[in-house]
Amino acid sequence: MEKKDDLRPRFLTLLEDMFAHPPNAREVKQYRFMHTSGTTGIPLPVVCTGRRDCNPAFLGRGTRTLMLFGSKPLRLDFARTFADPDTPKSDIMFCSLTTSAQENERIWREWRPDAIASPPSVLLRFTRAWPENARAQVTSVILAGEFVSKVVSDIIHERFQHARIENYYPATETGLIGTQCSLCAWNEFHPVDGVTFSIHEPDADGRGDLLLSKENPGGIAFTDYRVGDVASESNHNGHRVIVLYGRRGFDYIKLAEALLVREEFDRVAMELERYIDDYRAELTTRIEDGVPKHHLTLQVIATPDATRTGQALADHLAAEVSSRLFVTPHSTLKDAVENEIFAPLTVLLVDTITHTTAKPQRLIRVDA
Amino acid sequence: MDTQILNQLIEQLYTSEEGGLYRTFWGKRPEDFSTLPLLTPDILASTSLYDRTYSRDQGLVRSVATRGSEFLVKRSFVDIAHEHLPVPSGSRALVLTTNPDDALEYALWCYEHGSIPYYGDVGNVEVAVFCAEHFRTNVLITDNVTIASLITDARIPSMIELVVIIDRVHSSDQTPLLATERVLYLPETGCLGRIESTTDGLVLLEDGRVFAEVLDDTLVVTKANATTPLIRYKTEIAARVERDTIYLV
Repeated sequence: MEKKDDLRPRFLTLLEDMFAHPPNAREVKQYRFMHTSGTTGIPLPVVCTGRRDCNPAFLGRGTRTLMLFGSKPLRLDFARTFADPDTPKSDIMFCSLTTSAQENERIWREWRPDAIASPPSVLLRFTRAWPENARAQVTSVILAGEFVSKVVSDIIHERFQHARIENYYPATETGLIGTQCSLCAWNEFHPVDGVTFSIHEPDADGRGDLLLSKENPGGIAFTDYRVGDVASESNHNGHRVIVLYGRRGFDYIKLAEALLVREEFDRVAMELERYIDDYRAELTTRIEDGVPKHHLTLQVIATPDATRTGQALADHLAAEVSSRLFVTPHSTLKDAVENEIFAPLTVLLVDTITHTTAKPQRLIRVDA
Repeated sequence: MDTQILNQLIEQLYTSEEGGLYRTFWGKRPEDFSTLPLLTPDILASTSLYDRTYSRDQGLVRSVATRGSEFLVKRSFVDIAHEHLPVPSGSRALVLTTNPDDALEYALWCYEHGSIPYYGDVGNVEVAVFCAEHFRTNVLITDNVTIASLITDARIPSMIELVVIIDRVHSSDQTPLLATERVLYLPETGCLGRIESTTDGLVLLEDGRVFAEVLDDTLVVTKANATTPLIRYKTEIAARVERDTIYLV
């Protein structure tokens, strides 16, 4: 099984080749500098040649395409694809959740996007205040970059009733992994041409680590690569499909607006060791007023000599953890609560921590 | 840009089937460039994007905020490619600016001019610099706020040989130990020219695509962008003229 760290020397070799044989002015267009998000440790700098194989999926869907992906190298790559004079014509605009309400209104009122590509939770937040006529002019919605739960999928279909909704399964380092057909459920994907997959050590329900193999012209080839998602296998008319369950089972939870990392929870718990003996963090995501809101619950076994007890201790820990725990490189949980991305932290003081999985985990998503 | 070209341009705009901004703004058919009224950010803001769009070329749409106005702007990919930036062909450029739309334009320009860009996230400078070191970037394209922060935090990637500061406001401060180029650039106009620091002040160097005037101590520019040509656009940049040279104040 290949892991992300195994890829590092191979991408470095590609870079060294490029330095040894610098591309000429025409050839530079073949190269892309990107990096992975760093969910499994430090980011992986990636150099690729050729066009990302998932980019054509975003073309020809409209004439005014709004893109809500945050990754800067990814934005550049999309922009280059749209700039290619041989591709179907569409203007393109990149926005994020920091876009002001006034600017957001100017976008739907004046520019009137007819196609949107976005991680699902960002889409729901960004279009939250759009009136019905603004949503109705959207004829194409393309989802990627984040696990789509059934409840989110249902809301997107309800909100964009006039749009064709497509869901793609890509990764920065591998490119496109899966696409959906009309028969696919919200979490089922057909592997694209050149991709084969297997499930590593499936449990009784058939769920396990998704391992990919992919020939990757313009990049590196992958063999039994652990992409970082949990999946099982299903069958559509003799075709094997990937059934995706998200990133449950690892030491991080990736969200469109935040990244919860177990080491960060450990760091904060260490800072508060005067109060915290052990903990377990559980994340659920609920739809409230049409947008997803993340609820974090911390089960805490308090130290015997904690100077506070009961609700006073729970309230104190909720405040302390919220202001210390970073959920993005620059935002604490407290910031995310103020921005209504997270609900206020719930701290439960317990005598014994309940584990719902065979392997005790300190950070877990419980609604996947 | 000579008078004949300017007069051809205003005739084209007045009779164009695309857009409608200038026909409405000028009213009657203009007779002479020098008598045209000055275009301001307020007028752009009060005109819809489609009435300001004179070409069907695809491009980037972005929001622009000036001192008193906010509006959408479309910059065609062709217009972006035609800009003049002092970034050498064959370089690898770390593009790191406060405004992500600015960075995207500069990075797209790099590809059209033989440079491979790495578009870093100014919100996560640590990762940007870490990756820039791996990619051995040797040119840094940035703005005044970002370069000041990189210098203070000693985070300029080790292989950078040239810093290109692109911004709407400039000072004569030097980047320690690094060759520096400065470019005057507005999101609604694109590049307005390189800036040279002299003992008399900051000089706006001539750019063949831009006709620059100074009226009421303010820089007024005319630039024939394909998507939204800007005719006698009154920028919010203070300037003065001495011996046919434009100084930024």
